[in-house]
Order: sequence, then structure tokens, then C-alpha cells
Amino acid sequence: MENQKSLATKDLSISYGEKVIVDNLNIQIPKGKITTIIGPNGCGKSTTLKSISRILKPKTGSIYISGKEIYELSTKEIAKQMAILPQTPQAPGRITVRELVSYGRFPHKKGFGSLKNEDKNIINWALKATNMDEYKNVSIGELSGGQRQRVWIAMALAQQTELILLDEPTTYLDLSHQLEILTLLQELNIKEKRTIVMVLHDLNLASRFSDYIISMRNGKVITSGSPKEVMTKKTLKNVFNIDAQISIDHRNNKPICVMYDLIS
Amino acid sequence: MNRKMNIKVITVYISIIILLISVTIFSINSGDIDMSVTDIISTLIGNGTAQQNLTIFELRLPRIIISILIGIGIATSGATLQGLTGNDLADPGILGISSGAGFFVLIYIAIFSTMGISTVLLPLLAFLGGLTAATVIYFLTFKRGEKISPTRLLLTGVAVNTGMNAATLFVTLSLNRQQFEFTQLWTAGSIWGDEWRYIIALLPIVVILFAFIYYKSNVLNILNIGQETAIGLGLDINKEFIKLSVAAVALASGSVAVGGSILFVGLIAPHLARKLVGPNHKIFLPASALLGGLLLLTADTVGRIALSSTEIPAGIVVSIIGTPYFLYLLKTSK
Repeated sequence: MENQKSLATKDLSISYGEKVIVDNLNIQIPKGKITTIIGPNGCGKSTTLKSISRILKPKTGSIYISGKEIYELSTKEIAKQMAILPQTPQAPGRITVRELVSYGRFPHKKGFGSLKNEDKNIINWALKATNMDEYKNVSIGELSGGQRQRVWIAMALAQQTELILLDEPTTYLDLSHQLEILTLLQELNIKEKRTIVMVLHDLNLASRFSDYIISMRNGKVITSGSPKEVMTKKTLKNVFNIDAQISIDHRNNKPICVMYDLIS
Repeated sequence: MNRKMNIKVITVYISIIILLISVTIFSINSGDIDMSVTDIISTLIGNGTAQQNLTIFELRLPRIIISILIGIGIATSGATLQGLTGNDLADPGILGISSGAGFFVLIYIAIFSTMGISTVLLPLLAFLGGLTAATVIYFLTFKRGEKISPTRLLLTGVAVNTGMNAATLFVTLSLNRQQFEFTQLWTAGSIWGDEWRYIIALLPIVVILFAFIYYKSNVLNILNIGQETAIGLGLDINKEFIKLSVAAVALASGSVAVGGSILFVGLIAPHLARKLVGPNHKIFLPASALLGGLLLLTADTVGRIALSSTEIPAGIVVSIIGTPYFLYLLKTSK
């Protein structure tokens, strides 16, 4: 059973100073699937992701990656298994696309880190997989938001990890670019068998692209399961305090939230 | 990297090297004793008169070499500090690391006078002083999990700098006339350690530490794309931060110990290099080092010949160019 979980937390609590953000959280991320964490602002979803990414140290509890406690592994060891895309990654504008993607090889390198042929092949593959090949010599500063996001995903791909974590990968993107990024992630999941964990705000996109959804509120899991299990009137009321009207998208048989009202 | 970029990088490097050689030749040539180019060449290959030998080998050449070394040291230190803090304005001079090193050097000189300086003890003491200043800055600036604000870093640096200078001034009050004059020159950034023994002391420090930092180019590159991404890529941030900042402090301290308080070289050289060859540390660190050497050698040469009656310390010449450049950077940085 444990082997099917690529990532899990056990009694995880995280706090900023005195304020408890995540409270005794137990989640399990199925291997080879797309999992999305949803929840209102401040529910602890990004904090949980940051803690799994070892950017924030948890107060108590443990995080397991492929069955091992992450603080027992070296940070480089984890980076070989799990790639992370922060919410708003920053890069100096003058770095070229190819340079940035090449940094994805860092965990696999020692010392000066000269790129071998094998690394170059992986980098070229990552550029192609994200459709950024023709831009490889362009500076990051000259790209659009959607293109930039694809470069970061390419960097995560070059890391060659089984697991990719993304914190709101569609923020600041327009509708078509949001779809483009999520379709790319879906392709990677199907073709490359990568396990993908992300935080999303848009419920319908979460439903459409996820195999598994975890809904959170006040640092606790409210419901988790398939989109049909989570996207219910009852759960959305408990999580977002909204009165949602749920329908089924007949093209893919996934639930969609047609409209919603506030519950006063 | 594409071919166009490659050609640009090579052009920049060749230009810097040609400039450095030209200034070196010009610098050997300039001074009170006039020497023709043929005189210089014949002296360099060992056919000079006693006076020519003295002028070139004991006076001008050591001074030139030490200026270049100091420039390389300070520029590389600045480039590293900028990489670590993610702040283009980090410079060992402005942050007070140099004054910290200088303060310890001056205490030593106050006790033993310039006559009995040990070239082993001197860089060590300077390093201790630089480390003290850096530790103070670290504890005042860094908050866990927060990005360092440029303003906070600069203000702390200015405060540490002022504090160290005040302490230095206090020590100078107890000095005799000769020591006091030395202190004045030191503070103005006069390259005083222009003897071969200082070169022998400084050369290994600069070579080893530059090599170490250059070896860590990738770490600095990764830090450039943000702490969170760096952690995600498996960089042990705390460990690398300590290693690299200690190296940067040591490099600045060693340079400052024989070069006096020199501001702005650690700011201008890396910034200019980044503009010319881009932000990849593997390409830009050597350019920054060479530019630092070039800048300081030029400043020292100009300072030597600008006025016929006296020398202007290199530090002052650099500051004349450096102040407007610093203000420009301050205005354009976020």
C-alpha cells in the first residue's frame, strides 16, 4: 500500500510563529496521478506545499517521499525525486531559456557541474516537450508569461523527477494559456508517468485535469477523492462557504460548477 | 549559448586583456624617472642599469601587480556578495567589511608600527576584522525565511562602516605622527603594500579563493533564480552561504589589508561585467575579476601621475568615478 503513495504527510502541523496554519494534516498523494489541492485563501494549501518542498520547516509531524522521511534524506537526494515550481519564480531577465533549463540538472551534478552529453540530451528533450525549443537562445525577460511558465516547467522536467509540485502554475495567465499549461502537465502525466501535485484556484480546471482532489479549510482536509467525490454541493459549502450548482460535463464526464452563490 | 553570444563574450575578454596590458605598459612607463619603451624592454629582459632595475623591479612592477591583485580580490568578493544577497549594491567597501578588516589592521599597526609588519599575521588579522563586520551585518540584516531588502542591507552596511571608522579614528588618536599619517593614507585607499613580500602574501590568497568561488559558479547561478527554486533544486543553502560568504570576506580582507580602504571596485567591476557578458557566473566571474584589476590599476596610475607634486590615493580616484556610478545603480535598482 505505501508503495503506491509517492508522497504522504503524517500528523503534519505548520505554524508561522504562534499562528497554526496547518493542523495535524494527513494526506496521501497517489503515484502516477494528477492531484490538486483546492481551498479558500489562507486554508494552508500553499503552506503545505511549501513544507513538502522543505522551504518551511514543519512544527510537528512528518513528510514521506516514497516511504522515507524527507529530513532523513539529503536535500540533493530529494531534488532527484521531486521538482518544485514556486508560485512566482524569479529569474534574472538576461538568462537564456536554455541556461535556465540546464539548472534543472543541478541535483545530478557535482562540483563545477559541466554538462555532459547525457545532460544536454535531457535538456533538449525538456525544451521540446514544453515546445520551447525554438526559444532556447532567447532571454527570459523577452518571453510572455505563458512561455516563461513553460520554461520553468521545462527546468523541472530536466530535473528528471518522478514527482512534480506546482504552486498555482496558472496564476497571472489568461484563459488560453492556463489551459495550455494544464494540458502540458496532463501530457507529461500520461506520457511520462510523472506524478503531479498542484494547487489551483479554478475549481472547474481542477475537476477537469485532476484524478484526485484534496479540499482544505483552516489547515485541515475536508474531503479528498476523485473529482466526483469532492465537487459536491456539500463539500463546496463546507470548504468555500458557497452554494454551488454542480453539473456534469458530458465531454469528459467530470463535474463542473456552473454557478454559485454566497451563503450568508 | 549561441554563436553570436560566444563571439561577444570573446570580444569582451580580448578587449579587457588588451586594455589591461596597455595600462600596465603605460603604468611602467610613467613616473618621475623617464624611461623609453626600449629602456623598459631591455630592463625587463635583464639588461638594465642599477637605477633602471630599481625603478622597474622594486618600485613600479610590484605596485602594478599588487594593484591588479587587489582589484581582482575586491571585484570577486563584491561579485560573490552580490550573488549571495541577490543585491547589486552589495560591495565589501560599502557594507563595512573592508573597514572592519582595516580596523584590525590599524590596531596592529598602532601597536607594532609599520616597521615590524608580519605578512602572515597581517592578512589573518584583516580577515578576523572583516569577519567581525560581516557577522554583525548578518545578524542585523537577515531574518529567517525573508528576502533581504536592499535598503536594509545598505543601511546596516553604512552603520557598520561608520561604526568601524569611528573606532578606527579613536585608535588613531593614540598614534604617533608617522602612524597617524599611515592611517590617513590607508583610509584614503592608498596602495601601500607595494613590495614583493606583500605580493607573495596576497597572491596565494587571491588565486586560491578565486578558484574556490569560480568552482562554485553553479551554486551562485542557482541562488540567482531565487531561494525557493534553489532549495527545490537540492541546494543546501545554509552551508553554501556560509562557505561562500567566508571566502568573499577573506578575499576582501586580504586585499584591503595591503590596499587600504577602497570603495566601489567591488560594485562597479561585477556590475559592468554582468552588463557585458551576462549573468552566468562561469562566464562573468573572470570578466569581473579582470575588470577589477584594470579599474584599480588605472586608478592607481592616474593617481600617481595626475599631480606632479604628490600622489592621489587610488581609493580616491576610484571614488571619483564610483560615486556617480553608485548613485546611478541606487536609482535603477529595485
